[in-house]
Amino acid sequence: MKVKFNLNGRNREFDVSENEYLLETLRNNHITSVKNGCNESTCGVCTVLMDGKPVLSCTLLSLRADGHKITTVDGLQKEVEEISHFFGEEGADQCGFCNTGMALTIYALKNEIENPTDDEIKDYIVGNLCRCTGYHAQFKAIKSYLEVKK
Amino acid sequence: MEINQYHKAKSIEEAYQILNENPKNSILGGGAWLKQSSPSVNTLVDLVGLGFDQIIETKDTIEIGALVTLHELESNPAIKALGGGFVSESLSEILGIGFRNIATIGGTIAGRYAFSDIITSLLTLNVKLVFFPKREISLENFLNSKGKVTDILTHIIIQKSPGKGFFKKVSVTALEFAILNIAVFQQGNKYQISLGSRPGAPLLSHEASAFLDKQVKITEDIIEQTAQIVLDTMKFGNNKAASEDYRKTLAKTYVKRGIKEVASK
Amino acid sequence: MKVVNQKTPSIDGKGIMMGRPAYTNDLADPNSLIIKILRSPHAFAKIKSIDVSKAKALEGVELVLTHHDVPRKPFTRAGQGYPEPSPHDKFVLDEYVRYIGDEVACVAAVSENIAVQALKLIDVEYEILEPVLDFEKAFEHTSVIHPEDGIKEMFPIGFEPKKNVAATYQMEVGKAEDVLKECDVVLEQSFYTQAQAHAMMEPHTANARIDFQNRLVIYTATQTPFHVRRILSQTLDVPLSRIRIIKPRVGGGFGGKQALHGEMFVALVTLKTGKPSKIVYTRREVFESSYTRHPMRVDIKLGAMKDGTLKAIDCFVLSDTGAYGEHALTVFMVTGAKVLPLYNKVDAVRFAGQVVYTNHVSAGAFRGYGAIQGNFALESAVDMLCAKLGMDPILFRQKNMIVEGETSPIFAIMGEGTEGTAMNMETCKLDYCVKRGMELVHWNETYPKVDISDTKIRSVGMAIAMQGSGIPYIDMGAATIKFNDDGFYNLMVGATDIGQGSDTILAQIAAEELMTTVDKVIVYSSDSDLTPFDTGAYASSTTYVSGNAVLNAARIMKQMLLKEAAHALKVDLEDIVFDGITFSSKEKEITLSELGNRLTYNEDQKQLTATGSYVGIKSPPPFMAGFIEIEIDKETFEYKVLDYVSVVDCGTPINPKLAQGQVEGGIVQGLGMAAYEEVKYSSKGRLLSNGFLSYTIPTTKNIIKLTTEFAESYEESGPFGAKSVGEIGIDTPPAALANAVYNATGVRITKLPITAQKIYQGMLDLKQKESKK
Repeated sequence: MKVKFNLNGRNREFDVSENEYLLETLRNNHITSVKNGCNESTCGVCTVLMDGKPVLSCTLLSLRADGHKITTVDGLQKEVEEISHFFGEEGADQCGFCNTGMALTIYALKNEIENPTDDEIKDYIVGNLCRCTGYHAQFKAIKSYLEVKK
Repeated sequence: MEINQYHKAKSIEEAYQILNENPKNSILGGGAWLKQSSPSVNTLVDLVGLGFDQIIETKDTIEIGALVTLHELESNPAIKALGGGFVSESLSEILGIGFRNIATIGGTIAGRYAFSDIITSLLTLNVKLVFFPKREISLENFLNSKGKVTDILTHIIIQKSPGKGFFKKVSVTALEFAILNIAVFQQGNKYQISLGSRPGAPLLSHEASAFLDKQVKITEDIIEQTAQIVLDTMKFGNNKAASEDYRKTLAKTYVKRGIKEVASK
Repeated sequence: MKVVNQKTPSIDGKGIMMGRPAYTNDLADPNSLIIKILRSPHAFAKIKSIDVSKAKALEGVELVLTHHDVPRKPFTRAGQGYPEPSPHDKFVLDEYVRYIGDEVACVAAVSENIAVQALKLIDVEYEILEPVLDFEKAFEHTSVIHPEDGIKEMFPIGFEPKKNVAATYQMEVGKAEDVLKECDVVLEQSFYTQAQAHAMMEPHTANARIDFQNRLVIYTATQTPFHVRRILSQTLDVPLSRIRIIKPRVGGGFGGKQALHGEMFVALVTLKTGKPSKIVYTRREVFESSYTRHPMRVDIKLGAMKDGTLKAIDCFVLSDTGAYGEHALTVFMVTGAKVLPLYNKVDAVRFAGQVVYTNHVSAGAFRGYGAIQGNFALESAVDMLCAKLGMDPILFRQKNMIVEGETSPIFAIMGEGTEGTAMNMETCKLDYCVKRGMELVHWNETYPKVDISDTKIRSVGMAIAMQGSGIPYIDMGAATIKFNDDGFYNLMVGATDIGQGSDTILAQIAAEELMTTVDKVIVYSSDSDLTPFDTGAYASSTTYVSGNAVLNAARIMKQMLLKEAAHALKVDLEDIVFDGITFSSKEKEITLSELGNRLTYNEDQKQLTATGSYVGIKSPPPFMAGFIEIEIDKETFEYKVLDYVSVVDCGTPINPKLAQGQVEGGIVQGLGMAAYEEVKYSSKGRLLSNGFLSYTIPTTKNIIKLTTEFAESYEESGPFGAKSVGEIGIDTPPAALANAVYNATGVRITKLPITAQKIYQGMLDLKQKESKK
C-alpha cells in the first residue's frame, strides 16, 4: 500500500505493507539515524517526531504516518548540533545509541513545556532509556540547553 | 503482528459493518497496545479522520473521543483539574511519552487491561462509555463484561466533579506494570476506592465505600477499618512481581494514605 | 597538563547525535542475506533428527545450516588472550542444545520475512533430557551437560565436564581454619548474587561480505575484534590473513560483547554463498541468547579480635556459568583477586571454589567481572562483623583496609587464569576516599538512620572497592601515529571504543605528549587490517595499557620529528626547542605544518610513522569508597536512593568528565543489580525476563543525585599518572545498599536484589523472632 508523508521537509511516497512500522520504513530508506533498540515500545531509541511530537517509530504503523510531518535528526541538523554541544560539555555522550532519539525528545520538550521543572524534564524523557551514562550527566546537559533556549 | 488488510473507514457505520464481517477483524486505536499483544488480524479498520480525536468540555462533562492519545489526555486542562490532578497522574507513568503519543484512551479501555493505571483512577469517577451503534454503559459494568467487543467504543464521558482524588502506582520504574494501583476519590463526603493490578483487573470496593460514607467523622480508626474491609473483600494474588501478602500490605497502606489525603479538612 | 586532565568534549559525540551512519547495522551491505537462527525450545535436549528440506525449498532461502553442515572444531566464544583460560566447549552447531535459546540451525534468506518463515519449516525431533536448573545441585548431577567428545581446557583450569564442572581453583595464605579458631568473633554467612543482563541499547549484530581481494570482511559490534579474527580463523580453518574484522561504533557492551555472538554465522554464510550476509539480534534474543553475569553463592567466614583487628578471611565461591564456560574461571578468580586484597593485613586468607555448568543462558563477562559479586559478600560481611563486634564500620575499615605503599600476597598468587603479579600499591587513596565520602554524604549526621516523618526513614551505608588496570604480562596494546602534510597526525589504535570514550582519551594522551590539540589527532580504531593489535576493551585495560602504548608511540614520534626538524634547520638535535607548533633553533625555525609539507613533497621526503606497544608489568588497582543515602518507607519498605557518593582514586583522570561518566554509569548499573534487576527463569528453564517490561533497568527518574569526585593521585607507571576507571563504579552499590537497609531497618538482606518485598519479609521475620524471645 502507498503512504504519503513529509519526511524532513520533503514530501515522500513509500510502498509499505499493512503491518509495517515506521522504523522499518525509515531504515529501509536509508534513514540510519533512527535506531532499533527493542522493537517493543520500551526503550525509546527509535523516537522520531510526528508533527513535532515524539513518537516511537517502532510502534507507529507506517500507514498511520499518512498525511503527517515526520522529522528525524537529519531534518533538524542545526538544532541537534546545538543539543550535542551541551552533551559534549557534560561528557554525557558515551555509546551514543540512545542519542538521536533522545535529542528529538529534548527538542520536543523545549517546544512543548515552558520552564519545565526538574520532575517535568525527567517525566518527559523517562521513556528514552540509556544504559551507559547513569542519566546524571545527560540531565545536566538538558538543563543547560533549556536554560539557554529560554 | 500479522495484518491481512488495512482499511481506513469512511464512516463509523462502515467501520461497524466491516468489524462484524469476520471475527478476526479489529479496530485500530493507536495500535500501541495491539503491538504488545501481537495478534493475527484479518482486516484492521482504522477510525482515523472520523473526528474521534477531540476532547470537548461542557458545563458538566468532559467528552473524550476514543482516538484521543494518552498524552493529549494527560495534558488537557480539564483533565488536569479533575480531582486535583490524580487522573493526569495516573496517565503519566505509562511507559514514556513516545508511547503515550500513540496509545489511545479508547484502545486502553477497550482492552480492559488488568494493569491499567488510567482505568483504576477513572473507576472512581462517574464515567460512561459510548459505543456505536447504540450502547451506553458505565466503565465499571463494561469492565465486568466478558467476550469480544463487537461494537465500537467512540466516546468516554466523564462527569465533572469538584472532589479530591489520590492515585498511586506502586512500581520501581515507569517501565513496569504496577505491582498495585490504588485510586481514592472523595466528593461531598462520598468515597470511591479502586484497586488495580492486584494482579487482577481494577475493581471498586463498594463495601469500603458503603462503610466510609456512613461515617460522621473520619478518624484514624475508621480509616484503619476501611482498609481492612478492602483487604477482606477484595482478592489479591501472587505473581513474579510480588506476593499476595505484600500486595495486601501495600493495599492497606495506600488505601489509608489515600483516604487521609482526600478526606475533607 | 594542557590536554590530559581536561574536560574535552568527545571527538565523536556530535557526529553521532547528528545521525551519521556509524554503527554496525548502519554499515551493512544493502544486499545482505538476512540470517535467522532456529533456537532450542528445550533447556537440555539432543537433536535426534533435523529435516531442513522444506526450509531449503522455500523461495528466497539461500542456505540452511545444521550441525551436519558445519566444522566440528571446539572453540570458546570468549574474547580473551590466547590460549584462553576458558574451556573450548562450544561447537558452531552441535547435536546437543543446552539452554532455551541455544542455536539449532541457521537460515540465510533474501528477506527477514522469508527467513522467519523458513525457521517454521524446519522439523526437529528432540530427545528431551533432564535439565540442570539449580546451580547448587549441578555438581555431579546425573544429567551431564557436556558429555560430548573433543572438548578441552587449553591449560589446567580444573575442567571436569563429566561432573558439570567448568573450572576450579583454590589458594591459601597461612592457615585460615586455624586462625579462625583463635579469633574472638567469627562471622559466617552465605550471600547470593543473581544473574544480571547487560541490556546495552544496541542489540548484537554482525555483517560480512567478500571484498574485491576475495577476503572475508566482517563488521561486528564487538569489544575484541582481534580475538574474533583469531577464533574465526582457527575454527573455520580460514587463514588469518584472509579475514578482516572491523569494529564500527558500538552501542554499549559492558562485557556483553566480549565474546562471539553472530560472527561465526555471518562468516559461514558469506563464505559458503559468496554473498554478503547479516544478523541482527532481536531484543528478546539479546536477553535469551547472548550472555548474563555469573550468578554466585559466596560463603564468607571472617574472624576478628575484640579490638577490631581482622585476622582471617575464608571465602568459598560457587559460580553458575550456564550452558557454556566463557569466562568461567576468570570471573570466579576475580571474585577473590579483586576483593580480598582490600583487607591485606590478615594473618590468613583462603579462597576456593568451583564453577558449574547449568542449562541456563551462558554467563560471561560483565563489568566488575566477579568483583561486584565478591564485593557484595565481603563488604556486607564486614558490616555484619562490625555489628557483632559492636564496632563502627568506618573505624573498622580504616583499621584494616589496604594503605598506600602496602601489598597483599594475593596479588602474586592470583592472576586471571594463571599466576598473578606481585605489586605494591604505589597509589592508594582509600583513606582519603573514605573521609571525603563521609563528608559528602553527611555520614555523621545520619548514621545509622534518622526518622524523617511518621512514614519515612533516612539512612546511609557504604562500601570500599578496588579493581585493576589490565592484565599484566598478557594484555598488549599498540598504537601507530602517522605524521601528515600540514602537520596533523593520524592515531591508529587497536583499542576498542564501545562508548566509553577511548578514542577521545587516547587522542588526548597523544596530543599531550606531542604538545598539540585533540583536533590535530585523528583517531581510527579497531580494524584488524589498519590498526595495530590490542586485546580489546575489557579488564579495565584501555586507559592504562592502550594509553601507555599511545604514549610510547607519541614519544617515538616526537623524537623522529625533532630529528627531522634538526636536519631541516641544519642544527644539532640538542639545539632544537619544540612547543608543539614550531621547532626553533637560535636563528631559524620551522613550523610543524611546514615540516609536514617538506617531508611529503619537497625534501628528504619520507613518511614518518611511529608504533608503540605496551604490556603491563603490574595492574595498579583503582580504588573507591561508595556511600549511599536512602529514604525508606516504614510501612511498605519502598525506598529511594537520594544520593550516591563516589570518591574515586584512578590516578590522573585523563578526561574528568568522561571518567565521571564511567563511574556514574557503573554506579547506576550497580544500583540496578542491587535493587531490582533480576534474570528470572520458569521452572522449565525458560527465560521470563526477556524484554524491558519484564527486566527492569534504571530510568532517569530513579536517579535523584549522584556525587562523584576524584582523589588527587598520580600513578607513575600509568600514562600521565592514570590508572583505569571503566569498571570500578559498579562494585560498591550492592553492599552499600544492603548496609544502608540494615542501618535503617535491622533487616540484613543477603540475596540480591534488595527489593521492598524482601525487606518487608525480613521485618516480619525479625518481629517473629522478637516475639519468640
